[in-house]
Amino acid sequence: MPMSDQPIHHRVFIATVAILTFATVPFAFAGRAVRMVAGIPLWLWWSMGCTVVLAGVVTWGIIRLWRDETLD
Amino acid sequence: MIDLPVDLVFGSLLFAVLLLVIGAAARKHRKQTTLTELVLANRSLGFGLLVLSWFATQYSGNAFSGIPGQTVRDGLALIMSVTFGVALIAGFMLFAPSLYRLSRAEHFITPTDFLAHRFGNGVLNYLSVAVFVAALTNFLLAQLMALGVAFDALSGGETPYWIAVVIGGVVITAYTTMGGMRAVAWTDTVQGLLMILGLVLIVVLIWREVGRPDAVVRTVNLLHPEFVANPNWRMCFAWLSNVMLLGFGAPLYPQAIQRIYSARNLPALRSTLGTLAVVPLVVSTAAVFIGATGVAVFPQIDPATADRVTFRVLRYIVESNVALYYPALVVMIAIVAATMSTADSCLLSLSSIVTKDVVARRRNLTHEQADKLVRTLAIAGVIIMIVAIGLAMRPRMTLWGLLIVKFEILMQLSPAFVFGSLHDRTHERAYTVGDILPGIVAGLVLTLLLYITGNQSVVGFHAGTLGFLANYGIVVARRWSRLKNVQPSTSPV
Repeated sequence: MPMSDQPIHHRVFIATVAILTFATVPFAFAGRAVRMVAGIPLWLWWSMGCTVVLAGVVTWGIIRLWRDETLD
Repeated sequence: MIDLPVDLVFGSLLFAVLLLVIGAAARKHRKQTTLTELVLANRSLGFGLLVLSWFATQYSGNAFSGIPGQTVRDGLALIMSVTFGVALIAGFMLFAPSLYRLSRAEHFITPTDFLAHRFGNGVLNYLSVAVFVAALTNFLLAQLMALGVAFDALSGGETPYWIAVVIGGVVITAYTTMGGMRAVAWTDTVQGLLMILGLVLIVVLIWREVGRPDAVVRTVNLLHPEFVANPNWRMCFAWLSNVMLLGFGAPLYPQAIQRIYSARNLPALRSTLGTLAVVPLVVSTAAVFIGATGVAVFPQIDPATADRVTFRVLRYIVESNVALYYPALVVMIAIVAATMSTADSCLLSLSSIVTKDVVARRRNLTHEQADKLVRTLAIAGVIIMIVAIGLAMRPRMTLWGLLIVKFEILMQLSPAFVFGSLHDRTHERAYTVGDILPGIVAGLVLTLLLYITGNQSVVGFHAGTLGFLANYGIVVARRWSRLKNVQPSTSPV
């Protein structure tokens, strides 16, 4: 069966998702003192920020990179 | 006069009657009496039903019990659960497009149908069935436990755990057997809407009665600074391991795969997954906020009973402001709805796997013959629920613990779905069962060995994640070694 266009065939998309997923883990903050910004720890802002971007990229990939001539 | 246990039981019974009515209506609405109709709603779910039903099934009791409970144990690091939800949808992108396309052409009903079509190996089929049954039984058990815990905690012990488990189990079995996937999708839609309303209400109630998120976090920081501190290396590794567990394991939920099969068309499926990728930003964040509020309000809360924190917070709010009684009651019924919505999907999925992958395959039935095993589906559902109720009577793990174990097993099947979707089985570079099966067996054995030897976690990494890495390593290495020895094909002169 011929393959249609799908996110897994786009290496840049897969690499971006992998990097963003890794970035959501606050490795850069490990072993340091906590810093608060607006009452919330900075590491939490960082993780949430990366997750928001990740969600945006994943949604974009689903909507724009998943095409199927026979099923669309 | 306000009487929380009585009102809660009365409200929940009314809700149960509503679910049974929906089940009966779905039965009347059946277009045919086949497995495809009962398990996949005749592949007719549009965007609205699909997204709400998927949402209600995915977030279950964990949104109200598991995540807040674990926040009480581990602190704000549970914000990682937001990433889990997004990673899960990213994980679907590795195989869902091919799976959906094939399911239309080959009339798949269960996840094992894909493996049977792609690899055609009996051992792999039965191994996958064993993994799916183990994971789904675990999941069904967790939902029944959550239901029992919810009633026990919300009613202050006046509704015993076992009564809630038995009544809940009977109601779920009744409407699921009556209306199949159509009943499950319709009831999930009601339950999903109720869950959204419940989550919004509880956040508003906490915001109003306890404080804004920054105020809650400041209080947590004063009482338990370790809950707000930067995560250490071990916690970061555990975080990464959890993201891998969910990203590769959760997309293999049989009930999720069957929702892919149930989609009416590709635009409906695409819009559903696109929406679900952003849902955790709101839902899981709210769940962590509830848990943090529990730490702030009950600093001495016992970690062993942390799964009940949401109910304790609700009781605290009602006791501090009686005017908020009815909104709190709605939230409580939403919690009951959340657990039921996942349990019904698990039950339907389990019954379909037993019917199609065990009974039909043992009898060597064709697709058309298997499609007629409607009575077997109902009998399987009843037996499975009786067993699950029996197991739920003696809970041995926390809800979070059950969640993680399930993914550690499920994620071992990931290479079969991801690599199996990459090529058609006749493609010269396609992964073969000889590549896939040894990896899965090694992954499962390693996970089991680590568990048996008491090494559930190694430097923060779960046993299942380590098994998964070994699994993928073996699959890739075997294919590489096989293709290296194959001469490239040359065109005839």
